[in-house]
Amino acid sequence: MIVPLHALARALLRAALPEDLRDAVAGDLDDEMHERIRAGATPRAAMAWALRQALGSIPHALGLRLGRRTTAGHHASGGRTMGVSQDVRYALRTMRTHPLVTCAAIGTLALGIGATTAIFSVVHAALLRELPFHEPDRIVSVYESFRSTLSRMVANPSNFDYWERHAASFSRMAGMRRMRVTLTGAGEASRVRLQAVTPAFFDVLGVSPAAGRRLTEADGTEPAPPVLLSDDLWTTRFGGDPAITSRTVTLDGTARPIAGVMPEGFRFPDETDLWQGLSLSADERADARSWYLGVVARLAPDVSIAEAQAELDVLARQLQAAHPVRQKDRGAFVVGLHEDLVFRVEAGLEILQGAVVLVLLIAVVNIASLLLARLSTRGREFGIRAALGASRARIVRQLLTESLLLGFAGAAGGIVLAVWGVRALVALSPFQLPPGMEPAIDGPVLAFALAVGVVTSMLFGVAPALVASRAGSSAREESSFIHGPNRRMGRLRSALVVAEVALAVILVVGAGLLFRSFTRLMSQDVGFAGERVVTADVGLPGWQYDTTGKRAQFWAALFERLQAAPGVAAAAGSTALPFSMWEWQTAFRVVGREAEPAKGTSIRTIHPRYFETLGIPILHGRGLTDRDDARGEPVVVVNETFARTYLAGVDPLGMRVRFIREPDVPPARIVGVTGDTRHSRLTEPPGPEMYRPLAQDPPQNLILAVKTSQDVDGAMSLLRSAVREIDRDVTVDRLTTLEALVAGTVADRRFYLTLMGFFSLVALALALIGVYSVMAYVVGQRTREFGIRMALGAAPRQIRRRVIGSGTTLVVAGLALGTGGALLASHVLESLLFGVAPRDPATIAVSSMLLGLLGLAAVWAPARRAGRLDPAAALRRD
Amino acid sequence: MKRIYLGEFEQIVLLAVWRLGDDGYGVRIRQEIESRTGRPVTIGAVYATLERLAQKGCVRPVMGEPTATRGGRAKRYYTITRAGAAALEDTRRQLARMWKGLRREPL
Repeated sequence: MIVPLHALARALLRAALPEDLRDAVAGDLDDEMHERIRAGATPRAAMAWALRQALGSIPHALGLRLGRRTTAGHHASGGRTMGVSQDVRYALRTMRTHPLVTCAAIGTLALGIGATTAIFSVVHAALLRELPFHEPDRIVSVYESFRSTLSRMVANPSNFDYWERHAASFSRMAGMRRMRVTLTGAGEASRVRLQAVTPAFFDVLGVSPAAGRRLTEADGTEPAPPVLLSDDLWTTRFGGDPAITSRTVTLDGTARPIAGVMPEGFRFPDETDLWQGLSLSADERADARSWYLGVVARLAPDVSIAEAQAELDVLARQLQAAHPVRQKDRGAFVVGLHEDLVFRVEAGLEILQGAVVLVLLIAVVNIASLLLARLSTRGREFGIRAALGASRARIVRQLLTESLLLGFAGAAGGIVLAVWGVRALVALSPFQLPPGMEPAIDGPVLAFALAVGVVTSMLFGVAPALVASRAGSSAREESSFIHGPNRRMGRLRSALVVAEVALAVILVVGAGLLFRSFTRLMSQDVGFAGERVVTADVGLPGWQYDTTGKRAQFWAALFERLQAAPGVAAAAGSTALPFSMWEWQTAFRVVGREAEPAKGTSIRTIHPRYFETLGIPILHGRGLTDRDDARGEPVVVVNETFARTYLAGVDPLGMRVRFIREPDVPPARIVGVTGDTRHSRLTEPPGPEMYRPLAQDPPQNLILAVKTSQDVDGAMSLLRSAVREIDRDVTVDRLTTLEALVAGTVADRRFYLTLMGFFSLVALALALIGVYSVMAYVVGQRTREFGIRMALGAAPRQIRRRVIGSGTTLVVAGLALGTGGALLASHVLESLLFGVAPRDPATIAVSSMLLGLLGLAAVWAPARRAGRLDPAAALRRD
Repeated sequence: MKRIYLGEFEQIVLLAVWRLGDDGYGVRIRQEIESRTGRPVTIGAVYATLERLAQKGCVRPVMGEPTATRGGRAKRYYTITRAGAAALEDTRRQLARMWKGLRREPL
C-alpha cells in the first residue's frame, strides 16, 4: 500500500506546488530518501518518511501557490499574500477545532470522489485512453453489413478482395482469419488461438515483432507456415528462450518454424497466442459464400471514417450491380477500432457514470448542509469580524478557502479509496479489456480527482459563503447575525435535504429495477437441471483422428470410463452444450414437403445419455440409445418448439428430414420430442432444435457434461485424467460447471446490479444522515421555543408531533420530487432491463416506501428528544 | 531602507541559509533546522518560507546544475542577501532590547 500512496502523495504535492519549484522539491525528496537508505534505513521506512513529508507539505504548497496568484500584478508588498496564507492557516485551525464536522465532511466527500474516480478510471481506460498502436485513431474495423437484418459480421473474402483493390480511403487493409489449433510438445497439450493475417496487418497497426521478423505473403503458402509467438506464450511455454527463432512449435502435429515474438502485451485481435501469414489463393478470393475474414485498415491521410464509409457504400452498389442476387442487401460498415473494441462496455458505463454523479451530488449537498449548520455556530465569529471591518469579500474568501481545503482533503481521501475501488472493479468486472487498457490510477485520473475536489468544494462552499456574507453586512447595522439569518439558512438546509432525498429515490429506484430484472432473469426456466454438472471442451487432434471410426472409438472408450468412475451419476457430451457459447445451425427439408423452402434449426450431436444427464424431459416417443449407431437407421430427436414451428398439426414421430449439406445420406427419422431448453442467453426464448446421436456423426470436438454425486473439484480432475489416460494429445479446455456457464451469461448484469446496489446504499445512507442532522439541528435551535410551549401546557406528544410533522414534510417533498425524477430518468436503464418496464409502478412504489420509512426513522430520533425536554432546563438555555 | 519584519520560523530558516553558505538547498536547510532545533519540519514548509523570504528580498534563489542522483532534476540554492542579514540582526537587536532585565522565574 505504501508504494501507491507514496506515488500519490508525490503527485498531489507536485500538482499543488508552483511550477518553478516542482523539480527542486521532488529532487530534494529523492535526495534525502536515498541519503536515508545509505545511512541504513530500509527503503520502506525511507518511503514512509517521504510520504509523510509530501503529505505534510501539501498545505504549504497550496498556501504558497494561492499567495503567488493573488500577488501577481501587485508589487511584492506581501499584504494580500499574508491575507491568503492567513486564510489557509486560519482555515486549517478551524478544521482542527471542529474535528467531527471536518472528518464527516472529508469522509463524505472522499466517498463521493472515490466512487467517481474509480468509475472514471474505468471510463478513461476503456473509452478515452489510446490503443497501444501507432496513430490508433486512424485504425478502423471493416465489417460486412446486411440491410435486411441490420446485422454486421466478418467479411467474405471476395468482398475483401474487392475493397482491397478498389478502396482509396485506406492506406493499408488487412484480413485476419481466426483458427484454433492444438499445441503439443511444449508443456501440456492445449488449444491455442492462432490468427492468420495478411502481411498488411503489421502496417495497419504499426506494430513489429519484438524479436525476429514480420510475416510475408510467401509465408502463407509454405506447407508448414512460420508463426510469430505472443510474448506470453514465449515466456510460459518456451521459458523466454532468446534463441527462439531457431526452434519450432508443434501445432496440430506439424512442426512450424518460429519467425519471432510479438511485443509484450500484444494479443490483437482478442487474446491471440500465435500469428501466421495469410495468403488468399485465387479460389479463396473468388469465394462469395463464406464469411471468415476479420478486417482492419488504416485510413489514408486526411480521410475521415465517414468518407471511408461513403466510398465503401459506392463499392457495395458496384458489387450489387455486378452480382444482383448474391450481393443483394449486402454492404460494408466502417467503425473506429477503438469504438469497435469497447462498444460492448459503453452503454453500461454511461449508466454507472450517471449513478456515481448522483452519489457525488448527494455528498455535496450533505456537506453544504453540514457547513451551513456549522455556520450558525460561527455566527458570532463572523459578526465580530464584520464589526471589526472585514469586508464581505474577505469573509467569502475565508469560507471558500475552507471549502477548498476540504475539497483537496476529500480528493486525497477519494484517491486512496479509488485505488481500492478500481481493484474491486477489475475483480468484479466481467469484461475483458484489451491488454494495456486495464484501468489504473494514473496522471489523468489523478487530475480528474483533484478537479472534482475543487469543483465540488466550490459547489458546497458557495451557499454557506453567500449566507454568511449577507449576514456579515447586516451585522454591522443591527448585529442580527446570530438570530436573523437562521430562518433563511433553515430554508436553505430544508431545500438541500429535499434535494438529497429526491436524488436518493432516483438511485434506489434504479437499483430496484435492476434487481427486479435480475431476479426475473434468474428465475427463467432454462429447461434443464444444471446442478452438479461439470463440463469441459474436449478436442481430438484432427491429424490423428482422421476417420469417423477412430473418433467414434475414442468417444465410446471415454464414456465407458467416465460412466464406470466412482461418483459419476451420468456422463454425456454434446457438440453444443447450452450456454457454452457454441451453437451449430443446419438447414433441412422435411421428406414429403420438398416444395417448401429449406428450414433452419440448431443442431447438436449428443451422447445418448445427454437428456438423462441434463434432466431434459422426453415429451413424446423416445430418446436416443446406444443402438442408434452407424449401423442403425439415421434418427433425430427434436424439441417442442421445433415440432410446433415446423410440424404443426401433424404427429412429428415418424416424419423424416433430409440435411441440405448431406444430400447423399439417407434421411433421418424423428423418434422423439423433448422439452425446450435455453440456448445461449436467458433473455432469448428457446428456438427449434434437433439432436443427432453421437455414433451416427462422431465429431472432433465435444463438450462433456458429467453429473456428479460427489464434489465438483473431484469430478473435474477425474474428467481430465480420464481423457489423459486414453490419449495424452487430446485437449481438455474450459473445465467449469454448467451453472457457472449460465451465470457467465448474466455476469454483466450482475456487475451493474452490484455497483448500482452499492451506489444506492451509499446514497441512501447519505440522505438519511442529511435528514437526521437537519432535524437534530432544528430541535437544537428550537429548544427554547419548545420549552416555552411545554411550560404553557403543551404535552410532549404535541411537541413530538410538531417535529415529526416538519420532518415528514421534507421527506415527502423529497419523495415526490424523486419519484418524478425517477419516472423521467429510468428509461436510460432500458437496455439493461429484462421483464420489467423502466417505469414499473411496483418498483417505484416499494423504493419510495422504503425511503419514506427510513426517512421517518431518521426524523423520529430527534422528535423523541424534543418530547423529552425538561421545560425548566430548556428555558434556561441561552 | 524599508524595515523588514521577520516571523519566528522565517528567522530560523534565514539563519539556516546563512549558516550553510554555498550549500543552502532544500535538503540541507531542512536537515539543518531539524537537527539544531529538534523540531520536525516538512520540506513544503521550508520552501513556502524560502519563497516568502525571496519576495521580501532576504534570500536569492539560484538554480544549480541537474545531477543524476536526483533523476536529472536541478537543485534550487538559496543565499542570504545583504538585506536579509540586516533584517536578522535588526530582529535580534529588537528582541535583545525586549529581553533586557528579564529573567525567567517559576510563577
